[in-house]
Amino acid sequence: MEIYNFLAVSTIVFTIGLIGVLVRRNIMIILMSLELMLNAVNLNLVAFSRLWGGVVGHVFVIFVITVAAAEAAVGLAIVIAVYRHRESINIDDMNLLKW
Amino acid sequence: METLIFWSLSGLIVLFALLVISAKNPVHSAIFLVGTLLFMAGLYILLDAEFIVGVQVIVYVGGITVLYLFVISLIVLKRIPLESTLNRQWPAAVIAGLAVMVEVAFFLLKGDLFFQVFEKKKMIYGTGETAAIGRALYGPYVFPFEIATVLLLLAIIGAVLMSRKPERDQTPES
Amino acid sequence: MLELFKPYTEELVKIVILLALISLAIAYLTWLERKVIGHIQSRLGPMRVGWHGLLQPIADGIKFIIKEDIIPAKADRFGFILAPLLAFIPAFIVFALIPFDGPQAFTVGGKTYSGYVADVDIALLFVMAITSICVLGLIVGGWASNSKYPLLGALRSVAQLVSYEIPMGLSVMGVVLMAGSLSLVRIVQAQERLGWWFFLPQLVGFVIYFICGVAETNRNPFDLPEAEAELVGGYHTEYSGFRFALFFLAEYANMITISAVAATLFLGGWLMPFPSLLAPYLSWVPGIVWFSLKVFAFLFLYLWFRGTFPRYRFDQLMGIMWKILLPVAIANILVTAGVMLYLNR
Repeated sequence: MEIYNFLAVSTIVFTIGLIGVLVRRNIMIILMSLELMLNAVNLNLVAFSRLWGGVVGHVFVIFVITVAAAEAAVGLAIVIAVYRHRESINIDDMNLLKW
Repeated sequence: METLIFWSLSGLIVLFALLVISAKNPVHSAIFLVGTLLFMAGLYILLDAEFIVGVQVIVYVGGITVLYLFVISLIVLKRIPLESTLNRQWPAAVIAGLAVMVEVAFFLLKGDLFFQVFEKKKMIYGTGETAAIGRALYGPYVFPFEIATVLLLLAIIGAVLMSRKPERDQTPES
Repeated sequence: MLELFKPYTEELVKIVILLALISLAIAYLTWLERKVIGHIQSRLGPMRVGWHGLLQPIADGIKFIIKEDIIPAKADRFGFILAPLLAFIPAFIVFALIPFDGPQAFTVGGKTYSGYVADVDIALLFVMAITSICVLGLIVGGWASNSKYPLLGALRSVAQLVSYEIPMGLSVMGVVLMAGSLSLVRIVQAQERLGWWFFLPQLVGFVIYFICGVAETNRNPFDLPEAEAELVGGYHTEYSGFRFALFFLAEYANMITISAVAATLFLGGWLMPFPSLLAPYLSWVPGIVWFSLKVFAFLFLYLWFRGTFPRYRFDQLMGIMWKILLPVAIANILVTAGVMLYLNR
């Protein structure tokens, strides 16, 4: 069982998350695809940490999960605030900055 | 046995990730995300990262996805058909995503990383992964740990502020 | 293919026995609840089906199975079918981690077997993690029912459950500090070495853990989200037949889980009480009997609360958690850590 198997899974999930962020219109699904990308990175970190011994990768993963939680909370609060004004969660409708 | 578990978990992870980005209904998407996260936790158990499994399930599955489901339930949604759930530029986006995957695979294969993962390596900070993480977090990495605390406090305050209703005497006119 | 599972036959046999026993325990817990609450309210409870109602759970089971399976027309089929499973399955997974007896408990045919399925190094963390998956079943069920009362009940229920996980996790940290390990087996062995069960040094943690346990399972006095006078039925209003039975059984399985974990952490698991006094007379009693007695004591407390207390309003409920339980739990950790540093144990 080489490390390449884990890195391959990580890359595939990262790409799927990336495509999800770029392709969907619903902002909730965009945020969830972002979580997929963060998880792929976590898998990568844990695999390398297992390869080289030591616990640095795990500590980094804890921080990534912490930041993901903070970002999810604030992102969802922003979504709620935008929904109150625009009555829509389609990102094509959130175009106030368009020139 | 480990190979069998690894291949079945990986197949399930990729399948559920594809379902996350292609579900019509955001709640179904959230349920498939929960599945992906749980199977990822299974892969972490294979990699001997026990504490990360606990943190992932408690924070990600039991916290973040619940938060997503909360917000989706509070926002009224009409079921929209799949044709209009994709952006105008979705072919370009898919090609760009696949190009990124090819690039990353190329750089991975260029490195000299043909090592076996399941050889036993000794953890540097002590026996047992949880104890090692504890010593690392309160040892060399105590500064990022404290900053993470402040970050979480900021996130709480920010989320509460952003989702408050506008006050009566300053009702905004839309 | 089957040879892959050969090294794990011991664990597989234990899992099968455990599933059978826990299912039986849950079924008879429903009978016990009706009898105990009946007697608290000066009435008799079920008496007709079998002697003193002992066949009542079987009658209830048959009723649930033969009822018509109704899915509301506008409900989301996928979520509606998945939600009871999400609530029910994690409640059973936890039992693999709980030690029912010691490391050399049963000697069958010359080989000694242990009284638990697996001794995981961080069993306590895994127990917390798995019980936090049950929350998802509630909110998916409430949303999938596509109706007002289930949605409101599910949102309140989930807010309560997620909030009360915090003091629950913090209150067991004192025990972990004193035992020096997150493994449930080692915690019981630490109590054996110490001579005192942890509920005396950690009385505050014990009380907080049990209060949070009652709130985690949506039981009286914290059962506003499923009280019939308030929200009809909460998240399980639209469910009937076997799906409702799954939610119902999940609640009782969670009760047994929390009682079992409390018995392991604070009351010394499979250990005999007063070992210096009773050891000559009662050392033949297997540890699993002591464990069952302790779990039964907690379950009786649960049923006693239900028969006695009025329920809290939702804002009072959240107020108790944020203003009382959380600061006290944090203070408990600080004091425990301080005392242990001072005594240098």
